Amino acid sequence: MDLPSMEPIVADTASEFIAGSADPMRIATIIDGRGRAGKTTVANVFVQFCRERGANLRVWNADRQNETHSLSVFHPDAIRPPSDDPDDKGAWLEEAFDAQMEERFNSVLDLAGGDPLVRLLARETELVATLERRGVRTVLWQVLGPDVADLDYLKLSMDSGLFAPATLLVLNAGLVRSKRSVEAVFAEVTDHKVFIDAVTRGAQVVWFPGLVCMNRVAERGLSFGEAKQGIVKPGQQRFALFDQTRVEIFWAKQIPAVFAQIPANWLPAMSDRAAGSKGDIQ
Amino acid sequence: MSDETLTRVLAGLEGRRFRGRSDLYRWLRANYKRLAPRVEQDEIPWGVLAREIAAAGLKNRKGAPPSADSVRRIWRTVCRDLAREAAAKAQRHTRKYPSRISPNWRPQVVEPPRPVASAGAPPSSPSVSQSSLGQVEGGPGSGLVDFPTVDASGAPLPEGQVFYRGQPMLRRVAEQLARIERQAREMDRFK
Repeated sequence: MDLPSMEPIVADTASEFIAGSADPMRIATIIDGRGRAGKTTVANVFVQFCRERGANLRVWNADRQNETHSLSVFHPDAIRPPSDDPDDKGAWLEEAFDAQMEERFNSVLDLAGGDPLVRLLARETELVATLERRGVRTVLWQVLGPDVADLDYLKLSMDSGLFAPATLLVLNAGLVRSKRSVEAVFAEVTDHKVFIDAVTRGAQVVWFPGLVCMNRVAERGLSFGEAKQGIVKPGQQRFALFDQTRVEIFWAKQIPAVFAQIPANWLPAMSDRAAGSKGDIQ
Repeated sequence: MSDETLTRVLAGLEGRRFRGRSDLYRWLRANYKRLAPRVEQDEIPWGVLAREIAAAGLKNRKGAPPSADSVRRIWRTVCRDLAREAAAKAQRHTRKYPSRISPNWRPQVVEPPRPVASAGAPPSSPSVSQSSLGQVEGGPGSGLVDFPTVDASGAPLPEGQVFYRGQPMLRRVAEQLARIERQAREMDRFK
């Protein structure tokens, strides 16, 4: 493997980043992956986690095919393209990035499964470098399930130029429903040349934990904060106590532990960031 | 001792090599040199290899045909064992020249760096769990994992490279892969 190694862009210290002024960059988080890999769930967790900690970010929901568990259900302020027409969506996305460079804010983009929209833009406009020059750092979250075909989308990102120096490979353990070993189920993916090439080129890897009652939280349109407290909306059945505990563990322990492994300057500035966040991995 | 007896004794000794190891381990080890380049190039999917091995009549300890998972796992064990043995052999063969360093020399003591996050964290920051998914201590750059720096044939690897999963790779890549493996095993423990 003679691929050029890209040094990850990382903050010097987590404390600098907590202070909020060390990194003037804004963050454009792009959640990409194959359909059913769990992009919207990951995006939802990302937005809730960042906003709970005071981050200011705009939500772009480009997935018009997913209505029931759409990001807009959980975040009514999410902006959507006017239609599912590729030209409409392309124009909408360009305007959105244009506004981001002009007004300088953080964003998160949830794409439809396998949507080539952003890859086309990346190839045509050198999106990552263009945003970077204007003070916006692209952070690609490539969500992967245990299927080797999920790596096709990672390969496409690498080939199109969307693969940024700040790329996170998110292994979605929540897709392993059976009692099978997570390690064994994902082995084909983590052993694969494309995966190892991506890590060699500077990608960081995290596991995204599973939550048995994820569907029951999503169906109720609850935030994780509400679900762990047992809050339900009018007309809904109460949330089972064990499920509350599961959400509590997921939201208060496992998810903060995932974010603690992400370089601090790959995330939007948060006024109340976790103390253990890692900002100095080399 | 006659030639015939010697042959019989050597055959008996050969059968005792890798005692306690499965037939699959022995087979993969015996065929390592032929298989390694193709596995490294990702030419043989584990499922296909497992099927071929099963078709050849090789069975696991329970008498069942080996699965893709077990072939992959045992292959890694074979790679690790060969790399360790090659490293040990290389060390044995290293010639020791007389030392020109004074016997009174002692290494300079360097204070370990302090953790960066503790001092600057605001009091309101929520604590981060060190659960199975948050094992920051074993993360990239922690240097906790000792990887072989020679390949399976015992040849030293270029600076910054280590031998892991049957192939040479950058140390930081091996560290990340080892970390996610460890975290996956932690998750599996609670299944």
